[in-house]
Amino acid sequence: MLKYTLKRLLQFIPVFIGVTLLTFLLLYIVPGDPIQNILGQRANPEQVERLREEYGLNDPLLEQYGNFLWRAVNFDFGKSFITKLPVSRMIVEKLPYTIALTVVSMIYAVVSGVIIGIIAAVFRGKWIDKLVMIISLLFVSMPVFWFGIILILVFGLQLKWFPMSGVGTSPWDLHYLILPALTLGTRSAAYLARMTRSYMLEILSQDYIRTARAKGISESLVLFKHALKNVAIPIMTIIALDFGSYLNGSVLTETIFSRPGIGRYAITAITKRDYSVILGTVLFAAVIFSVINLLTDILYGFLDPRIRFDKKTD
Amino acid sequence: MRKFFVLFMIFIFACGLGFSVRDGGILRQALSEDPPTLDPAYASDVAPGQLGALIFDGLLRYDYYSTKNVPCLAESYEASDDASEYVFHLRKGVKFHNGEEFKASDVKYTFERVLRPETKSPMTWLFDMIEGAQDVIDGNEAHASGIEVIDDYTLKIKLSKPYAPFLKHLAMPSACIIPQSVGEEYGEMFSEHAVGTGPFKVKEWKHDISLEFEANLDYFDGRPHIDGVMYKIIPDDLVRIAEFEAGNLDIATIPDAEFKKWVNDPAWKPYIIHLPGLNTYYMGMSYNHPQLSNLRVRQAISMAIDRKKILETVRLGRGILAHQMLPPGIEGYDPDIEIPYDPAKAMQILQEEGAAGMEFELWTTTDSSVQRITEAIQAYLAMVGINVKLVRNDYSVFRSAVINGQPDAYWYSWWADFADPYNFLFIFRDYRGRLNFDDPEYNALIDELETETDYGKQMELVKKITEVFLKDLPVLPFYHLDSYTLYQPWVKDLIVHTIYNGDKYMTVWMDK
Repeated sequence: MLKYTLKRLLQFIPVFIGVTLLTFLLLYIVPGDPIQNILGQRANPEQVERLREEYGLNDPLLEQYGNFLWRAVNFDFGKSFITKLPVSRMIVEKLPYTIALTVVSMIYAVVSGVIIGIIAAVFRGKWIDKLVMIISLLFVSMPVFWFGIILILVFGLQLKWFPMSGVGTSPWDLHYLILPALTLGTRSAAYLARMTRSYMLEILSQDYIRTARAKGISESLVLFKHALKNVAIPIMTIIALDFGSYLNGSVLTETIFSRPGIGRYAITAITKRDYSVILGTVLFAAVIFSVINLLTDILYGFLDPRIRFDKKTD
Repeated sequence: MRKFFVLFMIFIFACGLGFSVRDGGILRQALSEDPPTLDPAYASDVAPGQLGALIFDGLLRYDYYSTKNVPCLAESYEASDDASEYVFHLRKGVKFHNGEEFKASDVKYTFERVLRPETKSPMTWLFDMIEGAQDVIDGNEAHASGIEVIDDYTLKIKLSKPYAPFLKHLAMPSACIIPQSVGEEYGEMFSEHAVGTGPFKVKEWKHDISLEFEANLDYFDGRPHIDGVMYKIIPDDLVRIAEFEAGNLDIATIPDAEFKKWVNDPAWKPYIIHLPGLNTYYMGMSYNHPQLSNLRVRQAISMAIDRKKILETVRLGRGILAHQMLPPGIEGYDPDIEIPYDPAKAMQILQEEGAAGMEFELWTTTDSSVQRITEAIQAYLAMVGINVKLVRNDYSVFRSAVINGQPDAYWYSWWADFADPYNFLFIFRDYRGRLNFDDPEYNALIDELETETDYGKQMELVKKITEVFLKDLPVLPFYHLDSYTLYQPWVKDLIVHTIYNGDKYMTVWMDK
């Protein structure tokens, strides 16, 4: 197990180098640079050239990339070209808000999605199942932006139950988190409900479930002990993927609800071609995805004893 | 008798409560994004300029009710007749927010800081006409010979050549004075520790969440009436207006989607400030394009597009139709000029010039209102047989192409850096590369305007320059965009200044 983990950790290195090198090259191919953004409407070729020189953007590409890698190893992603603030400090500042929104949305999505999915599977073909399928299809295909605005107008402006923007006193201020978490989590919840239902139906038709029922085990035990445990792996995969992408920011939700976060930070940087911020956030995203993937793989081993990592081949 | 006097005083006091200006309250506003900086040296954007006017002071500032410049940190000044030498007498006893006294050396430091290469400031153009400035920009000298500290309260500035709009530069955001000690301590990180002499101090800045100012009770011009300003960072404009509607913001701008609803509501009519903007939106037509370089073709295009209709429909009438580069708020604006709409004549010219069926690429950003406008242009030109291909890109790609003179035509705007006709007219001399437009007559007139200090002669020159502009028509002006500001009934004496850094919130007060 330990050996496997170490091997996987080593594999991260080429992934990080590949991701950053690709981003680096792309940034230099795409037109526009941070200097033109700093200069605004007054930008002219001479001014752009002077500032490019002063900011070191005219240095050889390989040298710039080498500098970036060297600093990154020391956990220094450089400073934003536009705000002059250190990128690592800004990521650390915004991370708690992203984590809070991710965790609350995921808890809401998993709890409601899985429960609704099981109910739909148990009442297969009944009106409640049909209702779940229709509503979940509606939520899966609903644009986040539109749903967020509707929630703000109804629960913020009209009913005044929740604030419409901001974060309150801490990243975990639930009063401010509920509407964003509903906006972000509902789509996942609907998707999870549909997936849980279909996996449950598949497993409930398996022979061992029939055997379990034939043995006279109570229906709830059949559902929760025998069936649900086998649904866990595919569900886990969906959750891990969503979790990873939420941690890398949910730009639309963060923007509509005026919450700081990694996603908003990255997107603003992309529109302004703020190179160091783009590289920093991309590397951060790569780390998050790699770590979550590793954790998921390890979790599989616990959930399903058939998946083992240190099995001798001979 | 004494009792009567006391009663009389109470009566006066009570009257005062009802009618006069009151101190206190926090003015709550929203910003669409976290300001990129508060450091004057990097203030090339509207938000840093607007916020900087509250924290800092320049030697000059704008009059609160007009676009004239008035003394601020400089109590008075003398200018030589040829506009190349200035002596400033500075206000005594002014303190920075950290308690240090403001001196002439701070002015010298601030200006040279903008010029020095290690600052990497985009604003060097503000001071590059000062004698010795170029040496500082090039990194050869640490100090500009043209900035001379005579004593703590007297400063002399000598320019390398006469430059008439120089005093206007001194009222710009990047000419705001910062204390030398703090600037040297924090360098590029000054923005996080912004200290000035202005009417407000930075209290707390939570990036992407809020920015809070508190009143500087020791401000040399008296304390502001409000106790502070609270900016919430709210990116979505529908959410901003919803927060205003709920009473959580005191001031807001009206987004297009809700424009009709607010402007036509009689209850809100008294609480909307409608202001003509100091800007010009235009379509540039490049001389690199074989047919667009033909003046008659450019004229035909100007006649083929119903700009008025586009302004009234697509832009909801939120502006004034433009027939020249100068907007109405700028001196030298001529209300009698008209670029006519005459599609029949346009068609005829295009036939004569053999340009019927011509094609060109019109570059735009992905902004939705810009998209609708350029689609309308495309449709109008299709009616006279011109085939326009729209090229849409994100702002960075678009701007890069414009700077490098790549597009055949592009949709762009110019916003006043300072309130002077020069600032709208010089662009066709200085940014020639964008359109490859280079008329020696035009350039010479701009050179002349740059050194002319006599107001009457300035206006004559502006008139001539506008004539040459219309004769050349390198760009087709469309409209000057207006601003609409909503405020809550309890906000009193609010000024929305035509120039973005024109107000310091010294008049506004809260009746709440």
